[in-house]
Amino acid sequence: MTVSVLVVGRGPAGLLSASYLRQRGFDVTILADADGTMSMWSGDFGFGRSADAFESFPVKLSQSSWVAAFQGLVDIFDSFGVPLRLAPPGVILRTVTATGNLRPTFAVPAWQYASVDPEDLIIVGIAGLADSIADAQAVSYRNHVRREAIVVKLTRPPGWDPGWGAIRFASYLDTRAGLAWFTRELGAQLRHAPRGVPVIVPQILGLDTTVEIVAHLAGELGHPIAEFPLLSPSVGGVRIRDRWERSLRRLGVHFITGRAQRVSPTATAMTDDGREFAADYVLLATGGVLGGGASVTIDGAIIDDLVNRELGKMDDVQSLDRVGHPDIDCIGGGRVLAVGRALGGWNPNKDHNGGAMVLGSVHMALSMISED
Amino acid sequence: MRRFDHEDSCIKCSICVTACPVYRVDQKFPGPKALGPDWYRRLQAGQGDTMEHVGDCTFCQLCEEACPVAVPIAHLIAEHKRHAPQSPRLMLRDYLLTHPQWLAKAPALVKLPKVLGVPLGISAKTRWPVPSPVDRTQRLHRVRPVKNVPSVGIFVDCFTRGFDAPTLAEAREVLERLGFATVPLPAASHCCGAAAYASGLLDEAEHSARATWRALGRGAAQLEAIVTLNATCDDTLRSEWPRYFGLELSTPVFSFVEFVLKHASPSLFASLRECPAGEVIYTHATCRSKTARGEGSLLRLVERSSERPPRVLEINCCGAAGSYAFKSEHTGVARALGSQANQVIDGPGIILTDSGTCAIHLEELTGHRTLHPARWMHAQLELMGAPQ
Repeated sequence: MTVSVLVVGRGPAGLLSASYLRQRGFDVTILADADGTMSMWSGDFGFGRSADAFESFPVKLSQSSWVAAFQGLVDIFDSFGVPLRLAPPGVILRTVTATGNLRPTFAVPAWQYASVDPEDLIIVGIAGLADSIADAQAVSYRNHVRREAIVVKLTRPPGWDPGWGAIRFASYLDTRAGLAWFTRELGAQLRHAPRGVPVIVPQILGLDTTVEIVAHLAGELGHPIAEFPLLSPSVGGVRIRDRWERSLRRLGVHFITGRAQRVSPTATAMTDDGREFAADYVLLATGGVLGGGASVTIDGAIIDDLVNRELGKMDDVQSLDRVGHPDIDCIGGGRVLAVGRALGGWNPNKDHNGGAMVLGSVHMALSMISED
Repeated sequence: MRRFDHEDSCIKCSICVTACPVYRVDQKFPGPKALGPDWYRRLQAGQGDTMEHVGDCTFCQLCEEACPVAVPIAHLIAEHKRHAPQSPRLMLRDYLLTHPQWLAKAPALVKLPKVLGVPLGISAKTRWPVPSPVDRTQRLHRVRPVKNVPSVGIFVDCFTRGFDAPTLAEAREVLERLGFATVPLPAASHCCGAAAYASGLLDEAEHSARATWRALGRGAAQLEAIVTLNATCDDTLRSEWPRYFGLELSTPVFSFVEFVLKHASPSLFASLRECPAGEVIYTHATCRSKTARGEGSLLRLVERSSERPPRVLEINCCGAAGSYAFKSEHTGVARALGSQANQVIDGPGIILTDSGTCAIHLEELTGHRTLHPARWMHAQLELMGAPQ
């Protein structure tokens, strides 16, 4: 008999859970009432500020388990066409932000700039792109990183209007005309730049053909080229979301639209329009950046963080006595589990370890399901 | 001004923009955030100038589905459309296209040469449906609920009435096989109002909805459920009527797919799965089906009823969007959206979709036979009944 799992939520933790569960032959349904936070996140997985940061995590996995977990993540991303670069053992990669700071990360889509050691960079600014502030970014980079940052600037593309955001730029670069414009303009600007210095561009290199665009530009321009993430909505996250959800559909994951309002300890979820979904397990993957519905508090209440509203009374939820990790993420005697970055009072925004927490909590939940 | 809930809740995350299918293929389309909540805030501040291209929204509602704070984005865009100026010629066209209940009474009109519609702004490229061979122009026979047999109404939408008699007949047979007597509703041709709402003709939408609600009338109250064959009408009856027009139905509304999943017995599904597997099935839950209920149910129905695993057609909105593809200014976008299906389809098979207009659009653009799930279920049941 196939074991069924209902995943509530469509952000990184929900999709990752679905991928692993499907890999292991579970019957998977994703119930979500809105898009998750995929498009607000560039797709890199943080692990804290140092390679031994995991020792302070509430999720206790051994170092070899972490390595295996991250390798599994690389394989999953690979399966839907997103090459992921993993930090070498004992090392944290650093990626550049739109404001010119270095941010620690551990696994990064190959299209995003990341480096172990700080390097001199050429930063590309694009007129007409709201979050492109290359001059300020370069000043900040020089001050914080103590390496050189050369700015080159591109003018507005043909057809541009003030409504163009990063998604529109990216759609344009997916077209033949858009890529030709970008290659020509960037090539002209780099004519006098020192050869071989890495070039970083705002994250607009296409939505559908990014891997090809990056390879094409590197070949044409004679520089390593990669992107830095912009603010929301993140083109990187949209690329991953589209590919990931497509692949899950292809693998037979059932996507259901609805707002889970009650979850009972018997692993049944009820939506606000009265539909009931019973499964062998429920994974609550609802506590991300937006709180897309809910976060699970330590006493088992489910709260909509965004508007600070309790989502129905969870009268029948007994306690958080046994949890994926002791005292964090499970209600209902092990058939309702919570996964994601916003568990048990962790603060990934401060500690830069949200990605690892998503990965760790999903692994923890999977091991609980497999044990039964 | 119509009243909404959460109309001013936009947190400017722009997730709606990332979910909009038109924004991806039309470089001139400003996107749902600009046309919906941004415009609405300007309107509230007394600066309600309308924007060009607002009419290019398909009203698929994928933006609303994506929104984390439940802003009625597509409905704000519909309000925007209502404020936008339109030439008398296109107003006439939109008025005609958004009253499909008239066409359902005289479906043979689609046989007129397409060139006659061109001056009105009706696309000469988009394929039109074929009128049903049976004369559906007459009122459906009044069928009374049968005593001692649970009875359900089947909502006969405009497309099904005018152009898809086989789907209605076969859906009824499937439901009867599940032990339900069926009553087609309403007797005369009525539109739920979805077509007018999508074009921003909100008063006409409400007028159509009220007339349909009255026509469903007391008869519906005696039924266990109303089963719909079209995802857009389904969502309109169930959620938009109460939310935007204050029209409540005392009978629960289910889509055909959800109703069958709920009421077919495990043994029936088991028998169906023993039948020899037919062609590859691609499932396409329409955008309104995705936004309201999710595409998982259609996938589930095919999985339960066939040995061969189905394939989800991984596209968002196919571009047909009711009357959208029939408007000449939308032909390009409609075809660009629908053609994305060809990147996904990798072999022969048939497509199942819960909307007649999407079916003809996808069939034209992919060359794959496209049917309502009821017709496929019916064929599966026939197969089961046939000697092996």
